[in-house]
Amino acid sequence: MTKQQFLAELARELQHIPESERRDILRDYEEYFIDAAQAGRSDTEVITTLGNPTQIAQQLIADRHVKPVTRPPTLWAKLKYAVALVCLITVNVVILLGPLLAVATAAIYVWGFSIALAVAPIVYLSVLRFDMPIYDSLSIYALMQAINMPMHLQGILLRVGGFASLVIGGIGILICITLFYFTRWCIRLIKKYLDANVTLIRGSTQ
Amino acid sequence: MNVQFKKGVLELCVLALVARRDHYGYELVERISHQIEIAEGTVYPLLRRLTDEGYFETYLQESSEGPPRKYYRITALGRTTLHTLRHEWQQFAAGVSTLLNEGSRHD
Repeated sequence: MTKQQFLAELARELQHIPESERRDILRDYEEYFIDAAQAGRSDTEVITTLGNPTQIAQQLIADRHVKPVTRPPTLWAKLKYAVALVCLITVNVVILLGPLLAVATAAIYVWGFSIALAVAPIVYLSVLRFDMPIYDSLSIYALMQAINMPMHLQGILLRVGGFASLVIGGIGILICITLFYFTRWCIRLIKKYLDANVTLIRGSTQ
Repeated sequence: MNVQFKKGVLELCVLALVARRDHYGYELVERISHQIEIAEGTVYPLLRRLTDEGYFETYLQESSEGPPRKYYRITALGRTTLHTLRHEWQQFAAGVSTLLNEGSRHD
């Protein structure tokens, strides 16, 4: 590649930028070639060290785009912003708030229910074990004695009850775990949705 | 060496050289490539960007050997930026050498 070819290729790669800028860039590189020649370097050598004109052009174009554009928002932009804001609020309140509250309420109920299930064995055992006056009237013994249940039936009932409470507790824990993931997923979804709202509003001002 | 890292360091070097005195493009490339290995083609895009960002001003000056040369002169904004970058670099370099020395002590 010769110096002329290098400059021509650079010019072609830069054809989409304003002419004054392109001419200035080409002038810089021409100056570079001349200075290098005076330092005793051949054009071929310079081209090797300069690198690919396509890459140089890409670098130059990329740097142009990072220039920040700061303009005060126009009246039109403000109007668009206001319309976007009103639309979003309407959509959120009218369409999404109802279902969201319903799901949240349901989740709270199911949480309560599953926690109650999970603690069932503890409650059962404590009712069985503790000889505290508060449990006296509640206790299964008191109940069984009140209805004059035969002893062997009392034993079976206590064992079945214990087993059942463990099963219920297990189910409760499983529901709790599922619900934990579900709740986390919901919170992430809500966060994402809010982020999307913010992006939408920001976007409308540009 | 990591390209992004090198770009940042190159920016600092160019700012420091131009802060000392006005330079033209080829001179800058020569002085830098004398010390560190660079792709010479990246210096001009960098000079343009630093000029666009207001760190440098340019002026043309006749040269005895050929066509006029474009000189780069640092602005007040450029000096402030250089000051910040230089400070950041010194902290960074000190951190790295501390880590390296720690490493060799344990070897």
